[in-house]
Amino acid sequence: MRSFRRIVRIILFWLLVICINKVLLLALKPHNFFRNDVYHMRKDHYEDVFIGTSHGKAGIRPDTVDKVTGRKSINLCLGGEYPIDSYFIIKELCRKKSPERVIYELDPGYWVTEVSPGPDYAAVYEELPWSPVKLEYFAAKMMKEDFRTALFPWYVYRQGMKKAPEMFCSRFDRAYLNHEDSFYDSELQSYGEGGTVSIHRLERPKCEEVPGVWKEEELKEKSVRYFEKLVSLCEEKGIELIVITTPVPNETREKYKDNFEGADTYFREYLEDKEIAYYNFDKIEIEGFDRTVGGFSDYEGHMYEDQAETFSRKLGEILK
Amino acid sequence: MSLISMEFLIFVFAALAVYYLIPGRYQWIWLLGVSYVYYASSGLVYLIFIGYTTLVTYGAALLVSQGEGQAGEVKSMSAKGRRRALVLALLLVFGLLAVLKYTNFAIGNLNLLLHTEFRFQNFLLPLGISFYTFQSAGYIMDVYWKRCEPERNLFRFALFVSFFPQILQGPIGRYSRLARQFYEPHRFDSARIEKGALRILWGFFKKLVVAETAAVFVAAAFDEYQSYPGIALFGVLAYTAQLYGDFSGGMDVVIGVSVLFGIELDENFKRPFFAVSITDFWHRWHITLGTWMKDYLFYPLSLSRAMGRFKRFCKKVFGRTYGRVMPICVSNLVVFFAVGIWHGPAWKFIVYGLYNGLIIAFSGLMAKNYQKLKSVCHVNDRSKGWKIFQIIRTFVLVNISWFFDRADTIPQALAMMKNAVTCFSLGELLEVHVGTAGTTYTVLALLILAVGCGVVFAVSFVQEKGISIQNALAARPWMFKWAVYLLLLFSIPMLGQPPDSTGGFIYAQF
Repeated sequence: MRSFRRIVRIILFWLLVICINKVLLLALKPHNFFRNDVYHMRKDHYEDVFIGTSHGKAGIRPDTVDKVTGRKSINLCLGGEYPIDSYFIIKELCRKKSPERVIYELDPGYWVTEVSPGPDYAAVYEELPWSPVKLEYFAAKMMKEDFRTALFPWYVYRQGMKKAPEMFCSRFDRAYLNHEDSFYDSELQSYGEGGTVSIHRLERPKCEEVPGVWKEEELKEKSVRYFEKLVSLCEEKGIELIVITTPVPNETREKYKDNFEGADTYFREYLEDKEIAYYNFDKIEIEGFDRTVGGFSDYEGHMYEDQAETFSRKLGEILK
Repeated sequence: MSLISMEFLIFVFAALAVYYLIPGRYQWIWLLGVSYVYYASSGLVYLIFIGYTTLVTYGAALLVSQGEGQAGEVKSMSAKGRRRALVLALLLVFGLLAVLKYTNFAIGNLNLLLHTEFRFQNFLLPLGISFYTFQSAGYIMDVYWKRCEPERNLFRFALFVSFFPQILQGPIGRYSRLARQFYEPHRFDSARIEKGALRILWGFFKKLVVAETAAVFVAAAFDEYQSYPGIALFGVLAYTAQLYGDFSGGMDVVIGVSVLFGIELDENFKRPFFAVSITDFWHRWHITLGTWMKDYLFYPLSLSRAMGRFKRFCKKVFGRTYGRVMPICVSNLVVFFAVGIWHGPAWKFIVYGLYNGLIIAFSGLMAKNYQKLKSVCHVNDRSKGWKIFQIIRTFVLVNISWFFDRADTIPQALAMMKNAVTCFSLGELLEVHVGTAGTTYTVLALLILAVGCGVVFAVSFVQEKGISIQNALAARPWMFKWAVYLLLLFSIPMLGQPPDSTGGFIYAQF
């Protein structure tokens, strides 16, 4: 009887821990449109899939690209998406669907920096459905990290403590529950068709910080390893892999000329060696595209929606 | 495999599950297997070094124990032969550590002194080598002095050297204490699991809430000491919190994990900041290193023939009182020189060690004078006030030593000491950016550090009074106990520093 009580108490304790964890996660985790990306990815079939970073998310408009190519595409790019995340997104996608092309938007900065457990750290992992791929993803990404990122997933979102009650309530919003794209719209940007994020032109100071500029000596083995895994996966599944780099403002390119030129040389040779098509849009003429910082929302290179439209048309022409 | 990583927790959980499922007589074999897997996870090449130390120590112990053999059974060695075997074994064991850890230090000093240009070597420094070398060397000496029987089963002995929780940062164990625990069967005991788990949680609290929060301010105060001269004093106090939280927190995790397997390791900390003297401090801080030094260096040295001659010489020159104390002082200086160099191949660590040695030596020499002074001043050395004065005095002296321990160079340590007494500007604290939210978050981090230190101090205070927190909790209603566990569990992710600043354990580098 005594040991039965003890077992019940232990179970109650752990149930309570799980409940508190769940509530805190709901209250602290910021909304991320990748939730809807995954929802669309699982629901519909897409021939072309864009993966990559926030530059790709803001710059690539699948509806515009599709009008030119006559195909159906989805933008699964995400801020903080490292090659390891891109690999597992495609691996998960291939579990149920068969895309024909994967277009990887390459930001060299993500190849020279480590994945750090910040608010973007588990964005992809948390939205993927339970599957052997997710388990493999866990083993590859979370195992070596601080145990708090896995056992207390809300831990990386602690900075959202002030907005916790509001965030918690919004989880029960009908638009959120129904995966409505408009739920993610804000004054600064809107999320829509095919997983694109449209950054509105607003009068506000532009962030001048450019994190993680390319330095070949700082190239991370892990990024190379997971990109090569992605290459192998695409080969194995008969998927064509194309690599692109979105343009950055002239001012930034001028400031970090050697870094950008170095990255272009390195990746051009690297991808040529692997016989993968590579398009660096800093080197490709785009008609009507404003290459000054005036066409971007920041110095890092996130395009405004009208610029994204122009860029996507050109991208479509190349992909056609 | 970091102690705070998810893979470590999963590793321990899996190892534990199998440990209690298999028959008791195979448990030690399983422990040996998982210990080697754990060590190999840092790099297969490390196995060569631990394998070398294990084989040399194992063989040497059998050799030096031969004198004990029955006539006709094993050919006995002469006392001289045993002694030679011991010296050779110690040279081989410490030689590896010396070559790997101190070669570049020696080259650097030679180059500086003789204006030569010897090239620095790129040696691999195996994880935890200082700890398992000292543990193994202690074992050979114990066998030599017949304090314990040599282990004749190589694999059993290999477990003593490689037991995974303690291999990276100690505590430095004794064979006589551990052998029985390693090899006897252990049955699953939920109370023991609860005890171990609570100890692990407490360790994580100290490491992730106290040490990691303090680390941000320590990094600013020490690594950018020219930009933040006004917080040198705060920096060293924060370093006290960081070092204690990091090292004793790591020990709590190590000891807690061992308890899960039914193995009680030696304690390495006993509330060091309640110490009333530097000697007392070293009886409470890194206890197993202190006792190792006492048993295997201090006593052999102070009882050696050479020291006997030195004692007679001192008695002749300085008189009876000082003559008796002088050899002890010299032995202490040698011991603390060794403690310093053990911490790392740098002059600042030697100064750190000698600073402690000098204080202890000076206290020993002046003991009689202090006694006289106290009686002249009518100081009641049993009063609370005197004890508090002693605690504060020791705390100040210990903090001075941290300048040498944490600063990159001796001149930096001296400059920071000067800043600590001449330049004081707490406002600079708010210029230290914690996280991405800037100054507001810095205030919060300071508050968390204060609360974390307060909790650790309160627990230490209660323990110092002889009260066991675990027993006190066990006596309370289960609801209260579980509420405390829950609070502790959630405080670690809630209050602890974001993971991007969470490094490894400081002492795992030694």
